[in-house]
Amino acid sequence: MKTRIIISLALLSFLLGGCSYYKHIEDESEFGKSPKGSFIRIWVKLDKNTSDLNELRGELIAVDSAQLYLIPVETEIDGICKAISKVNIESFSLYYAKPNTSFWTIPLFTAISASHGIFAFFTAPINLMSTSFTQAYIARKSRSQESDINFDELAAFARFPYGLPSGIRIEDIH
Amino acid sequence: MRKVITISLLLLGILNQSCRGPVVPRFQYEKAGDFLKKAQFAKENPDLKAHLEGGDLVFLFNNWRIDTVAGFISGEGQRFDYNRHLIKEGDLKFSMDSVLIYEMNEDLELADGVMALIPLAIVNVAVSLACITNPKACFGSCPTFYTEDGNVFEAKGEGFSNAIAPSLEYGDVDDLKTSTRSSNFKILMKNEAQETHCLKAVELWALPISNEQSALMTRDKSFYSSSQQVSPSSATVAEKDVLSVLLQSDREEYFSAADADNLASKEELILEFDASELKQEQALLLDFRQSLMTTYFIYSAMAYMGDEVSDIFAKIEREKDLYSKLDNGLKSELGELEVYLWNEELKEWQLQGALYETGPIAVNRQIVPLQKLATSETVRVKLLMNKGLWRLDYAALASLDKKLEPLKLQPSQLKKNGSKHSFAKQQLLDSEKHLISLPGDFFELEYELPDANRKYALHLYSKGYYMEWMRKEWLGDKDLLKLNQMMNHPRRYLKREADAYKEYELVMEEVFWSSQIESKKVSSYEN
Repeated sequence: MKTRIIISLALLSFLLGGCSYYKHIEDESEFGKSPKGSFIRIWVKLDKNTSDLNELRGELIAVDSAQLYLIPVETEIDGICKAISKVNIESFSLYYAKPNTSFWTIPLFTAISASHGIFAFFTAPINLMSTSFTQAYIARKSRSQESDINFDELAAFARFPYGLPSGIRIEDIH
Repeated sequence: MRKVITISLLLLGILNQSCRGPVVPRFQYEKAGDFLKKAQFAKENPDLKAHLEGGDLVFLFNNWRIDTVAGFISGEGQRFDYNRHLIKEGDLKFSMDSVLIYEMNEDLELADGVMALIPLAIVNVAVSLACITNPKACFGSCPTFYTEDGNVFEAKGEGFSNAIAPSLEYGDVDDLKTSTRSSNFKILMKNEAQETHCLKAVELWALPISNEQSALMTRDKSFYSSSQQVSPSSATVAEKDVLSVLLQSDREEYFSAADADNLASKEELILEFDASELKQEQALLLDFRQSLMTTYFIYSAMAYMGDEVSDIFAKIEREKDLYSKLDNGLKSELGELEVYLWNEELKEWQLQGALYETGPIAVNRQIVPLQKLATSETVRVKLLMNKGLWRLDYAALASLDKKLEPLKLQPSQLKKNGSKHSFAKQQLLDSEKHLISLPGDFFELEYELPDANRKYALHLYSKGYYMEWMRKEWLGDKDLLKLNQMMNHPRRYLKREADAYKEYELVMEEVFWSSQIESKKVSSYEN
């Protein structure tokens, strides 16, 4: 029983906190100062016949009428600007800054309940839910997704908000 | 707990879908005039980002100047090429014609994950401090029992709460409120208090029942199968509706605060049932436990004894009437949970029985068989109880199908603190010996059921006694006169102690309820 709870807690923390891509996102203080585009994650449909989605993440370079351009990270094609057809994009998450989340508070607060004796019956679930909810809320408030903004609005956060500069080849952008 | 984790994950999913992203303070303009207009209203002179033809970006610090007549922009800053390599730094000047987009940003103010939890941290610290100051109130009393199907935070039983000295040893039965069809069943027994527990027996009492039945227990440990339960149609205390908290066994309880003038004040809870569907013998089923009031009196008594606590307990061992005085004096004033049935013919309430179980942790489930009254299909029951002493979780009218005899099972396996412990098992199984459990000890007890194809309702029998550890901080409260008043003049004591108890009750109840949101909403708390 205890093992299952510990595993579940670890899983929950991992789900929330195991975001390796956070290292590519600028700090809050850099918003407005960074010369680069915002960090974006997009989920692309691989094939019309399947529901499988491929995730790409990296710097948002530009958005035009038909395509979205990004320079991926954590993939085999890192550093090479890639054009993705907008019709194939199922969803996206645009990160404005690294969220000030503290996922370590989830296991910590839940563990503190152990010092509450019989009241832990009430405080442990409240701590678990409150900390999870708070951290998820804070993470959510640092990004926008397709339900928040459309592709045109997305362009404002690209390296080139007016679209790809004329005369520059996509492969020259890195 | 698994449910809570599932709910947490579900909440996160909902949050992800329903919550909106932030309002982001980034403003972009194609015309310099629009940008200047916006900049006028900015709190401070903003930085300017100019996106140029060819992909270059110029970032000018707040000292920029746009000369719309000459058509130039100048200021101190940095210029980046389309790959965002820094190509120039310092004083910069460039033509307005080369600018495609003028951009201004305000500070992004994201919430902080630690700061947002400060209120929760304060509540946690308050509860922790309350528990450190008053450990017995938080860490239970007597052996606490947990079952596998339950919750690690919810004790299903607490054994022999009244046995605070060897001579007071007795056997206690708790309804585990669970059943099994398995060939074995595990129980976790913990010592969560600063006490020494001496256990003579821990038996699983299995009662064979059919699918739709449950097994119910009276105070004198008679068992009945029951196939039907009827919820009350109304429940009132001084005309206040408290029905909603009594409809389910869910720890959303009815309780009241103690009387500020007299801790022995009573209150009445009136229940009404439509019993037209119940044709058999019937009983009032009640899920109940005590508030922290009795804990307070045990504390106080020990504190009054001060450094003579061991002498007085030795005296209790030699002279049993001393304990009777201590226990029965107060107990008789506080009374039991009395159950009355309304007799319509005689127009009077008739006493049917009473319930009593010490302990604020585990919720007890017991029944009081009711006299069969043929005249009315509406059954009215009155509970007469001491204000602030009882917490009621669930009430129902239950059918009594037939009497049952429990199978009394001894543990087949015993693990102490995670390891098999044959000596401890031997101690527990030997009727002449006691298994000793010290603070922090936990025992996993496994029982084998005789027939894996049968359904068994489970009760737990525990026999023994425990010794409360004296606390250093109690020594300063020695007051033998007050102890004398408690033992010999309990009525006076309960009046004079009301103020002190109310202070304690307020703190404990506030801490308790501030730490649980859901129950506060539905529990009835009267002053």
